[in-house]
Amino acid sequence: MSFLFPLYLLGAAAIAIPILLHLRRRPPKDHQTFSSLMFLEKSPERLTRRTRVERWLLLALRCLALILLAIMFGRPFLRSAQMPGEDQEGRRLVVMIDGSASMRRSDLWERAMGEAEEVLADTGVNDEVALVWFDDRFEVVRSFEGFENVTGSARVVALNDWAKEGEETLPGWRSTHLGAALTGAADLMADANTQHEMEEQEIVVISDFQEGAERDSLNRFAWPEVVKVRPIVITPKTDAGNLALHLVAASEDEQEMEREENRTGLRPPRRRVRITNGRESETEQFSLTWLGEEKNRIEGFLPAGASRVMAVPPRAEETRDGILEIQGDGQDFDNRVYVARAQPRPVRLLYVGAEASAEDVGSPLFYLSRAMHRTPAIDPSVTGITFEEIAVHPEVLSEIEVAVVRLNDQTPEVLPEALKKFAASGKLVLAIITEGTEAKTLKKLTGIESLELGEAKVDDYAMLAEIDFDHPVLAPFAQAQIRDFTKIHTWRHRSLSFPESEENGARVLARFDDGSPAWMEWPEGDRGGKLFLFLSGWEPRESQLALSSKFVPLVYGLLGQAGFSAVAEPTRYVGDGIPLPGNETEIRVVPPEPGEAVSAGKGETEFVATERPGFYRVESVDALGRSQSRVYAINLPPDESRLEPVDPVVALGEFGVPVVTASRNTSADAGEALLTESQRRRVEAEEKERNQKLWKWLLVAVLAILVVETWLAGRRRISSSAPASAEAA
Amino acid sequence: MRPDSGLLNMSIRSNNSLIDPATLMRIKSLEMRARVVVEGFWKGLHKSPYHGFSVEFSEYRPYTKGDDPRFIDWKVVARSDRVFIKKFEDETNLRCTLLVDQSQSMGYGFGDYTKAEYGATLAATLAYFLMGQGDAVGLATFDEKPDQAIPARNRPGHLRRLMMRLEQAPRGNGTDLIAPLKALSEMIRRRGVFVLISDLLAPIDELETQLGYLAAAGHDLVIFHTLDRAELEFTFDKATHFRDVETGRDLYIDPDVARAGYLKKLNAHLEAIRGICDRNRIDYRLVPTDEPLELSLFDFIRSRKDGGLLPARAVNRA
Repeated sequence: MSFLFPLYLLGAAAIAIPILLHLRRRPPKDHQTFSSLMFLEKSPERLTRRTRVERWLLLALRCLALILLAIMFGRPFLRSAQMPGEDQEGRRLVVMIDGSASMRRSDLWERAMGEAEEVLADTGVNDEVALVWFDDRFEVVRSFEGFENVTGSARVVALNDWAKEGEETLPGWRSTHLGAALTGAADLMADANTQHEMEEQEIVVISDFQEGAERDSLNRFAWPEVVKVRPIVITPKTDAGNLALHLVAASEDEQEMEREENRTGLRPPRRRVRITNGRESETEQFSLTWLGEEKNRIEGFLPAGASRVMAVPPRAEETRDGILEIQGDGQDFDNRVYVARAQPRPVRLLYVGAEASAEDVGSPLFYLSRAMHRTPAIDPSVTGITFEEIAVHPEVLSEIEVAVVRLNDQTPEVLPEALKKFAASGKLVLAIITEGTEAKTLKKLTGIESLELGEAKVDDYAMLAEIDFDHPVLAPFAQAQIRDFTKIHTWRHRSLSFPESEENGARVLARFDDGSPAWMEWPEGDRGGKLFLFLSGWEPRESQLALSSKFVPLVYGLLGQAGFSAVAEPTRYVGDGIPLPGNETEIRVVPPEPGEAVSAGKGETEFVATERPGFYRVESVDALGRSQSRVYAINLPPDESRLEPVDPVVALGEFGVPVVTASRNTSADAGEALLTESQRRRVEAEEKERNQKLWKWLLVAVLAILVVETWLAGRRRISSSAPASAEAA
Repeated sequence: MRPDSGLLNMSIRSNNSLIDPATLMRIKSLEMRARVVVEGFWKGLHKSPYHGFSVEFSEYRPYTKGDDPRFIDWKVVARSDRVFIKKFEDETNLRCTLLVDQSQSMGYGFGDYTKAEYGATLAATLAYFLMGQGDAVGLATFDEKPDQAIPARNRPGHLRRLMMRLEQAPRGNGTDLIAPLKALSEMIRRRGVFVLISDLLAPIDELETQLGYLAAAGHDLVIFHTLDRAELEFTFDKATHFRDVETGRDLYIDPDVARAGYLKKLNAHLEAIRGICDRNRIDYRLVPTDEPLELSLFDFIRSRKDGGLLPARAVNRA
């Protein structure tokens, strides 16, 4: 038998107390009155000479209880007993480190590394270990194979190597997809190619377990029961609370309103932000300002846990990129919102027709040019050109994005070919068929040989029917209040028919009420080119379309089909792709400092390496040597700002993930690496003691002895007082 | 006058005609106790070899020069022509003053009764006995200071008065023998018998002086030294705190240790008292409280007879 705290055995010396008390004469409780003390002298109070120890049984019991108590405090254990798990098999372990943006706070990353080190050091040669990090991605640093047959300390070295390698990039700026990462880890564990089934399978998650971490993907995953999750929660030591700032996307209505206002040029585009204060936050004051324009500061008050949407401070200049910053909290990683300058993309529309005058009320161009206006997203310009002019300058087509052609009987024969080629290069052609258009022109344009085209016979007027609201151009009209097209009367239109076998991918967007197609669409080429066919004009001579409220959205919808959506750029977050212009020859992406410019390869349509918030400039040179530059703002994912830690037991438990919170003790391997021999023996002794728990039995024994002692003493007292009372009686 | 309790009668007879003080003390009335003792004594008196003594004896004696001619019995002169003096009965009466210690130390008793009760019973017995034969009995009680003394008388009701005084409980704190003796010696000029009943648990430095004064004044002195058996033999065996009943002082005493010293000092004290008594021709009697009262009474009467110190007899003898 050994003792964890042998010094406590000195406490056994306390048995001297009952022995002395037993040997000592009981101090007189009562007084003996006596007539006079004149012949008496004070006797010394002394130990009795009697060698006979009174109440020896009581004394023995009391001494025994004290000795047992001392032994109990000494925490005895049997050294010979085996350590629990000393001969156990290895376990399978996946160590996951959270590398999301919220881990950038204070020293969280360093501490996470420290925890990972401890966990890895705790592993033995028998253990199968994989090291993984995650944000919205899931990356294996070292697979089970990569960590095979190495000691814990070797794994720690590997961890440090990796951490040093990724010093620049980790932790990143992305959001936390905890659920996805956990399923990934579980898959990794299930896929592990091992010789034998491990009893113990554990995923160690080192994370801040912030509220904003995604966990829903666990819902779709049947969690394997053998795999336990051990969370190691890293929270900042001092948390003064967090103010989060994020752009609020405007609703469609608001965008529409904004467009209307822009047209009149009355107001700059409005921008709004959502400011959220953390629930545990101690600060309630904030100030919101554009960097570099501190005089337009908004001071505000937001209680903890509250959220508020507010307009951003006014800016002197909208044409520059702006950084909006909120001040007043302790966490500065999510305090900035990057707002790219307003950069409408130029869209050049070319109107080709017999008469190309924007001033002629009877011409479709009159209405088209008035419908097109600059928005935050696009800057359309409309030019008119006659058939004669285009015949002379066919190269003008290479300089435009959208061609609107009013076909009639005077259409030059070469034009359909040129338009087809134009559309095939990824552009958009809108052809309006007017009275007298020859069928062969249309045949060339659509490639349908057997089509029949003629003037429809209209009594009074025709209405639009069978409108395909699933088509992107018409989808905005799907709402009940605005889906009524019956008020648009068509006075004159053409009727078109062709066998279904030769439709060439045609899609009818709308028909007239006589069943003849009204609006049609053909895909052209493999670069996204499109041909739209209107079988009636929109000018008042043909129909009421141009005068209806549907006209402008319809035209903008068509522009959207050409790749020039009038809708504002979506807010992009770290990890989101930036669209690259498809048909330019040379594309370069300049990320924010300290990143270096990257050239995009051929055929790439998206730049996805948006690893940090900031402004990304896409520079491109098109085939004609015109260089363009466009700036995209990348912001922090809003969920990363929800920093309140959640209890992993609850947060993961609700998805059926078994969570273990008890930490494992140092096992032999790690002990050798990290502890001196004496420390190791000490730890081992503690472990043995903890498992044997002999002190509990000693406590039971002490209690039993005390019960017996109390009973004996009580009985003795009764028996000693009984004769006395009898005598008194 | 007979004891009206048959039980008491039996008790007296069974105990060799001497009453066990413990039994006696159960009688509540002090006067009754005294009567029981004296009557029991009378029963035994007939068996006593010392019968014949009586203070009532009167006689003639020849006239000597200097005698008061008033006391000449002229009838005898006429008949026998010899001049005799006739002794009057009242002159032969004993004047006895009982001095009873009522200090707190007398309130101590290891058994069922205290020294004070015993002393009071002894005093009552003597008073009853003496009053019964026509002597005058006075009483003075004292603790650390003397009380108002009851002068010696022999008249109806006087005995009751004495009894009432004797029934008072001990109350004083200390014991001062000197002051009462001094006061009495100043107060009582007529010669008589002084019976001192006390435990004498006080310093005795000046006791001899005062007793000497009394003896010199012609008084007859008898001392009944009442002590409890526990005081005489220190019968305790448990170490405990002993509390002085007079001063309230506490002392831790282990009897095993203290007994020898106590007995030595006590004996020295008793010796000193005996020495004083011897030198001053004082009748001294140590009375343990468990001793039958009759013995004390008997000794008293014997000492009167043997000592021949009664004033009246002394006068007649002369």
